Amino acid sequence: MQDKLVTQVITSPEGLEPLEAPWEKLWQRSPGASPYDTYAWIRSWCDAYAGCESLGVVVIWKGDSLVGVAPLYRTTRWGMRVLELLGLKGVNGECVGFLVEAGLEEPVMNAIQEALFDGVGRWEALSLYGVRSDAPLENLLFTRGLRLLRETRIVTSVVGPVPVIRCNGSWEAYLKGRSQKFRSHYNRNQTSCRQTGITLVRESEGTLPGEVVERLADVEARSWQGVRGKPLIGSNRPFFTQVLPRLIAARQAEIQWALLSDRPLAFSLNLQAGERGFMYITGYDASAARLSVGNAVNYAALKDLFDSGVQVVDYMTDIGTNTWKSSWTNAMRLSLRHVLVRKTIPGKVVGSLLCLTRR
Amino acid sequence: MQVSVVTRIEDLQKLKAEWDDLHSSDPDATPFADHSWICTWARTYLHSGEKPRVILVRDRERLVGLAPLFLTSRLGVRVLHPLGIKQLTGGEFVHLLMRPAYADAVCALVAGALMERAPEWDVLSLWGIRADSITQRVLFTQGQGLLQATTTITSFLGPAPVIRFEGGWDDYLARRSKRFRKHHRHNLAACQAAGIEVFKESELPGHQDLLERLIRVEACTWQGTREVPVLRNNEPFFRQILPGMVISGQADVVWAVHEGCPLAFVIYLFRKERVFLYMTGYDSSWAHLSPGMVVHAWALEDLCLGGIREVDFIMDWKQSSWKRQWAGDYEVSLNHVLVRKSLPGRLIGACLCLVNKP
Repeated sequence: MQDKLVTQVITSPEGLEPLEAPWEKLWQRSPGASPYDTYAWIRSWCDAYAGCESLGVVVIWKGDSLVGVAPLYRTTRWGMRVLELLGLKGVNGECVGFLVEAGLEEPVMNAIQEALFDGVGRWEALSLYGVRSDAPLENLLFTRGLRLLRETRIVTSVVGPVPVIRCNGSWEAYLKGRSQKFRSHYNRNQTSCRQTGITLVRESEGTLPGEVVERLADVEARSWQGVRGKPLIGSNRPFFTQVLPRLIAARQAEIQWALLSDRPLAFSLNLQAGERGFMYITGYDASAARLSVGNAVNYAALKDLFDSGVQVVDYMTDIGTNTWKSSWTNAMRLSLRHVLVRKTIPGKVVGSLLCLTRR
Repeated sequence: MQVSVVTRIEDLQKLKAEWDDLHSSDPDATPFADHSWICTWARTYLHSGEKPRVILVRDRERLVGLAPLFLTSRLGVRVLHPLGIKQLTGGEFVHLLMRPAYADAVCALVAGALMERAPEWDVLSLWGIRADSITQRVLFTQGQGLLQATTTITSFLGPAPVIRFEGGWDDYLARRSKRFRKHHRHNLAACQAAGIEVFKESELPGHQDLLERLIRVEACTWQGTREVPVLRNNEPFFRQILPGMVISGQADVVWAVHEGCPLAFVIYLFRKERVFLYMTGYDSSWAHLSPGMVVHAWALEDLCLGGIREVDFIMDWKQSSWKRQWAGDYEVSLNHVLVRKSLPGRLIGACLCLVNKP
């Protein structure tokens, strides 16, 4: 007899504990899963940020096998109850989706929808932020999300374009496809690194002493993000301390360092999920800007991603501040925010407010 | 590649040959995006204040994509709508037409043209887009400029029940419920015993009085007596389009007739191996014999035996439960309304979110 689907709603970070192994197995089997919806990322995020929020993680079991996860939590905005994706806020997360066992899309989506309406408590809006326009969640929502579609209206806006590299061949072939200016910059950069004694080292080789997050935060503090903006890693130490070692161990994250006399000058932190790589964050010591160490680590990181068989490199949403990304990339996709507002009076008000704001 | 915008119906009519060629190369194309359908519709329904805005994309001289839209005004708000839909039941599902190899480029160019070449709109309404269509995919992957300048409000129109004939007719019946099969056998036997005949319009010589016969039955149906009679209310349109489509093999009508008097009909439209069950009606005084069920069963069996692989029941606006009994699958039909981030656009968006209708 076939196993029926059983739904469970997890409401506390501790409740996620027994899910680690089945979640990772499901993640491996889910087409289009990203590093941002690994157990390690979501769990670390919950531990760091979701203390005062109420989790609403919907998990679907088929016998002993986990076949669906919708990683959500409940929060309040403008007095309205909103369901949001875990793993995004504060850490520039994107691409968090629902994990769904291939071949079981329809029953699992039905079960998730039942739980969203009957199991996670009342909500007026469900916000799906940073969804790639070609992501599986997009397809699941519009082709199999009948109840969600029926009971809500979807307000969609563009978060920003996402520059990507489609790797049609080797690193050398990629370089050939770049502009003359890009190639000569690359060659000059390689020469200048050699001449100034800058060495490029991969974190996973374990050659650097000290705690990895402290080293990252130290470089970041000397970078323009640290000097002029809000340092991402420095401001979120507990999260990165928990998540990075786990992702590095699982080969889902990699750090490229540029060192001068063993002193870190720049880093590029990348995430990887199967054939997809994500250029998550780069930082370089602003005083070493003339050496283009930021570019050096990015070249090295990108070459590593090519060598490891990655087919698409995602440069994360460009909200207009990173024009340099377009010179590296050869394609574009969109990052979307779908807000599903219920057809109740509060839901309609949320929808109207969303339409009235420019953001 | 070049983009141009057609703004006059007369210029639309000149595009027939290349439009037909493009239509035949698009796997998602429906009869509702056919040149004759669109032009007939435009001639019939567009009033003086409404103008076509058909965006054409050419690769050198060859037409590789088009967006059939028109500009209208509602309460002072300028709205771009797809041609071929308004006023008609089931006239959904008018997509961008494009050659598959050009889909991404066509969508990007059409999106650009909507912002630059035909920018005089506050709201763009894309009604009846199927969720798994190429148009849906390319809109959200290639329509960057358009999406960035607008907020999209998506409403669910309904599931469109679909039959996919994976095996023969017997296989299809075997997959239906026991109750359905029993009902089916009972209906056929009862209609046969009552002397009801079933045949196709295409088997008859000439179709001059086709519309009169359809309207006569429609007047006795529940649509005719309790709702809006679609055929009668849109007689000029159907008179121009339907007989021609039957003659050219793009449409057919299956009739149930008793002693020469039509009792029920089903109109279906062909698109290669796919068929759209457009409209059905039966004389409600014969409801005890379910002649509507009989024409459907007869039509579906005929279509299946004729090699049709997919039958689309068209958007189920009223969630008609009878369609789901026949169909094993469904497609999702959506309405995307793109409102500009201008003040009028934002106000329209806010109003749209407040109402219940899609």
